[in-house]
Amino acid sequence: MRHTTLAALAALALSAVAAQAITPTDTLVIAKAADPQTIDPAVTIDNNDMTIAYPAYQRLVAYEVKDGKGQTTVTGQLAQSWTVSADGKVWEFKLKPGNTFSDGSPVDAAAVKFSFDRLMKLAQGPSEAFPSGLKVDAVDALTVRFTLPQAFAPFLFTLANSGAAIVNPKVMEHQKDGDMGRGWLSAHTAGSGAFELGKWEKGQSITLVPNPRYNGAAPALKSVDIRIIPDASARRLALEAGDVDIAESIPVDQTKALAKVAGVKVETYPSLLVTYLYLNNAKPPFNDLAARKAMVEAVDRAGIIDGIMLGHAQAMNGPIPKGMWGYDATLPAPKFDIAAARKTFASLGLAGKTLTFALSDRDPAWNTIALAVQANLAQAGVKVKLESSANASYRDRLGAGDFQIAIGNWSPDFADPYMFMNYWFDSAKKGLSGNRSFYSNPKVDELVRAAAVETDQSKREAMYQAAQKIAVDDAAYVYLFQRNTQLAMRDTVHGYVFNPMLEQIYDFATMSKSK
Amino acid sequence: MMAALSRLASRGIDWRRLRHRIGASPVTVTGLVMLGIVVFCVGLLPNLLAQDPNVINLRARLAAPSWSHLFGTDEVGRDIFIRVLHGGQVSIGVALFVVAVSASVGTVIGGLSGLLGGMVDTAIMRLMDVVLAVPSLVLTMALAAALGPSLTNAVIAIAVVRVPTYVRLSRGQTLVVREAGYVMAARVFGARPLQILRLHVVPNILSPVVVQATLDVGAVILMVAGLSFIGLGAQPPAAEWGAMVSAGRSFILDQWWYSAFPGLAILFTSIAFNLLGDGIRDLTDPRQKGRS
Repeated sequence: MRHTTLAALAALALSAVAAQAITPTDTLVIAKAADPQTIDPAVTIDNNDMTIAYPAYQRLVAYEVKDGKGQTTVTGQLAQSWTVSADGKVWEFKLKPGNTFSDGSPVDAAAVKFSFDRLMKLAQGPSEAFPSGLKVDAVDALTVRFTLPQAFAPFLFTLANSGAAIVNPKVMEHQKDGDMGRGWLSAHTAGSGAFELGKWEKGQSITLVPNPRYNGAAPALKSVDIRIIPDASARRLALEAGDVDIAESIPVDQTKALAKVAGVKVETYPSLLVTYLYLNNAKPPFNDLAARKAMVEAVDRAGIIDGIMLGHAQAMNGPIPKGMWGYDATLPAPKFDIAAARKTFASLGLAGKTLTFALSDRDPAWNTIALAVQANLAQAGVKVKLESSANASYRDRLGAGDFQIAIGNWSPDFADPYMFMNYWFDSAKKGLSGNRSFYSNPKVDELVRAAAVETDQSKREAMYQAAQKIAVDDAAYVYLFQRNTQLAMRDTVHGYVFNPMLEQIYDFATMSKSK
Repeated sequence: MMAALSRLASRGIDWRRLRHRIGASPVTVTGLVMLGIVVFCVGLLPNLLAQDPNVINLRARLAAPSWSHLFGTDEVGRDIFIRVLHGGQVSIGVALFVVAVSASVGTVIGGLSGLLGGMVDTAIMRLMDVVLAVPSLVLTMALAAALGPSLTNAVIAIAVVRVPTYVRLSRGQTLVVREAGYVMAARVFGARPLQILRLHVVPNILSPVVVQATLDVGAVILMVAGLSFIGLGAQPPAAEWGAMVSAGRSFILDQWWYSAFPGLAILFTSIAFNLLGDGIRDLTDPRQKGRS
């Protein structure tokens, strides 16, 4: 009763702001927690950015959808067919004819070559998915050849990544100081996807409009409006009132009540989205293995999963989540032992010292988890200062290693343990690229690099599991849980397909709305 | 300041008459009773209950108010009742401290400004005008943000912003007092400005300052809460009313108690101090003297 009165009051207050309660059937409105930062596909590895960056571009291949379910297999998108040499090093793709970018220029082999050359030259996060030394040649207008320095098992799947987007070579007209159009493309789109960026009011809203030259069935939606609503309650109210059709990042505490609201559905999907703590291995105190181990012992993971995630998550004992091959069920669950942690921290001279814990409002669960970790560590005799900032500055801190503890979510871009093992542990990928703990172990480097070029899956699995054991012993991260992804939307929204590789990414071209 | 106060008191207050007049003013009585409740809850109860406000219980998070958790629990299972009590120590403690600091500093500066006059007076007053020209909450936010988010910095910011009010108040009063015969006499006998300030000016301008200070406590509690609400004040896990209201925002739809109880605590305490301040103003108002 009280709840309904409050909700009604709040909804009333909100509807006074929004002029229109129900959105038009050809406009999809999404409420997002944080503004994207850059929508340049060659730069961003943040799924929050990919909501815009992914549908604006096409790739050589795309994840298949069968019976309304996202698959881990790929099918040609721009590519009609492909062949691979026996040694796995040379891949040749035939492009489908007739695709054009939004400005009318053709999507040809030269554009593919340009996109990958640009990706590798910018050498940002997305390029990490591809072997350095990747050579791309335009054989003829519709044939493109990739030559890899050595075989790379997940290569075909990496081509479905956001970073493998085919970008219009005309972006070079916007080049400034040799940035290959990076500055311009961070806030514009230049692709052949079904939608393109219409308008972006920073921190407010983003409008995507159909690309008139899209070489596919015309989308049912005439416009996609993405509104930035940082407050979770406001997102939920907007969804309940029908002001938005999809509300992202609804705290798990609220989804149960929200699912009962007429006209709203909350979909739950088992996912590969994992949440874990970064411990800065490059800085005191976590450059010391004993401190990291004590940290792992001090965190009450079971409490976090049962209490904060309300059981919508399962504990992770190692970096590779359940459901991904390479998962090691034999890894022991770390012991929750405050007393032992307290002893270790004291012996390291950390008792009463203050550690910094960086976080942002990107995920509503982070703050609660941080408070729980803070309380756990307080019991272990260590103070924690929570430093919450806007997502952009938070990511800057991650990249610069300016933290002692931080929290992150990770979801794979392709179904291969490479996404976890090579990104998280290869010392060449320190920082935002993926190795956010700044972890470095030559033995692990060797194993994960060997596993990346090996083509025999069982051998790869053995190497990854060996590396996984070492990394878990080194306590590079505190693995918390892999969660079920929940997405709350109006029941008028149709055609949404979840794919664990494509968190926060929608295929707007196949989505529609009913009355 | 304290010495001046006690001297003021020792000058002889007719306690019986004071009690009578307080009793005749329902506003003051209400304020006093409310303040008594606040002092009991915030000052004594936490020590009697002896519960750690920061102990989490992840399996009892966001529990509705019940006998075991009077005000329910928050998002990590901390008891909101205990946190409201402890938060009060922060909010009220900070408010009293801020008011004491800004009132004493402001009185001294204002007294000196009025007493010395001339260039010093002009310089001080123009500086105060500058501070007063900016909306106080905006200035506090800017200061707190510049100093970095922490409770100490919030205290400094609020204290700085509140000083000009007292400077103007005490300067105005001083301008009246300095023309009085006893100040003239002291001057003739060669008393130094600081001596005059201490012995003659401060005791005589104290009552309006005390009234202003009492009224200010409520406003400062709101300011501390406001700064904490936007994350510039008390830092987690410290319990503070404004920070609690802010954290409860995400849960306001299903767990109304999280924001409601700290919010009510702010409301209750601010009203208590405001009523008391109003009452004291009435009591010390010369026009009210003799009437009862």
